[in-house]
Amino acid sequence: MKKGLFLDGDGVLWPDVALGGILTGFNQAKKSLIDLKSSIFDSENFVFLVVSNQTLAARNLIPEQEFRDFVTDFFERLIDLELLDGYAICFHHPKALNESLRSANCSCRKPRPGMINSLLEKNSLSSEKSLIVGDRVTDIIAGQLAGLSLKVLLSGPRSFEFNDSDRTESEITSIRLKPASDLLDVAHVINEWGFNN
Amino acid sequence: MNGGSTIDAILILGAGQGSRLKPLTNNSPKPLLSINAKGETIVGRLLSQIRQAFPRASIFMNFNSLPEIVVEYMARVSTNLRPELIYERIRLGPTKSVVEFSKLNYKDILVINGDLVLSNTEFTRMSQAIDVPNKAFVVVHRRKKEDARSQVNIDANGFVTSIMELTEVGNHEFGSSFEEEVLSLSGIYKFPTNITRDYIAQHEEPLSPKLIEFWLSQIEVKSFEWDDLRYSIDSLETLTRARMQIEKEL
Repeated sequence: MKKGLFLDGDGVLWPDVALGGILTGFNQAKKSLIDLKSSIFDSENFVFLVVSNQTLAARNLIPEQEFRDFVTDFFERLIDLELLDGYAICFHHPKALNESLRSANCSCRKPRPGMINSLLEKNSLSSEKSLIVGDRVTDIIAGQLAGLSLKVLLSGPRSFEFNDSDRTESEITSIRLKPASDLLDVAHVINEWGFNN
Repeated sequence: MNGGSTIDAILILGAGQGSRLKPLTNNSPKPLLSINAKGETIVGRLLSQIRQAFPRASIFMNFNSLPEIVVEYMARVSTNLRPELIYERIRLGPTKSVVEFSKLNYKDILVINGDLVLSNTEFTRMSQAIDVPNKAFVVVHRRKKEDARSQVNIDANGFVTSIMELTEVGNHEFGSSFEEEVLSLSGIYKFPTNITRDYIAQHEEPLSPKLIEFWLSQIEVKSFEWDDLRYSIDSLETLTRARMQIEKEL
């Protein structure tokens, strides 16, 4: 069975900037995926998946359909390049200005595990053989709630920020994570984990 | 070294507030304080000693305060020494941390306080002595009763017969000497996890007496006594003494 590698977008594959790093992040995402694939020993045994909260449309900064089309094109191009195998995006926000995207209870917005669970099922992956890489502890919580075996947190000054919108149904008091300094280091951590799994 | 160890997981307790070491701990959790001129930290030294003694065990450390600093530090530790971290959003206290950790799928675990500075020789000797499958061990050291927070009583074979928590001023019997020495807990415990899984922690502090009383009701607990260098860093004085001793070791 293949192993699922769930990757956050902002702050992991492309820079996390206030006005939506995804808008200018394609080349960086491409480079990040190429670097990761070439640094993971058995990358052919991994299914590469992106799970990302994207709130530009919820904040009314871009018309919803325009943003959805942009995001679809962004990830489909990465799939065409055989750098990515799948993705799931949450466009909701509990305080969205765009009413159609306002949701306090959607199952997809991280730290909820909905996106991970649906991709696990869609790709016939086992949670015990899968891992997530994120730059926020909310990514790690989503991975933990989905039962992923390894949760890698990229070190950063905002890694442990929690907002009112970062809610889950389950109250989690202990969060297990493996720290990493950058994507190359992430590959080292994955290689060591893969060796034992 | 010890490649056939039955200890499959080690938990370093690093979620303390470090309040007795302020202001040093304002910007650095206690385990990350440096203990020599080369910048080696308390936990960095512990990680090396643990990996040397238990090459195949999984290493964990819990933490609570200054989480970004802990993660940034650990992200720079080499991957073979780097622990998996357990972030406690709400500080559980050592007993609950150990009880929660016991729920993970490990058989024999070793728990070490994250503020211990130990000599390499003594760490190796200790790790070999306690590495007995399905046995519980507590590591003890002699200290003046008036300074001790716990008293461990053992029989001639080193088995723990009873344990008591001492108050700050000590539980002195009338007429006892203030110079009296007792065996006290050192902050290292080894036990099979199956005996703690059903234990429901009722008390935040301290880790030892309540939990060990429970172990004693379930299993024989053996003691290991330190001979020499062992510092629990709880003041600037102990930190300075540990630094001086380590400089001598080098």
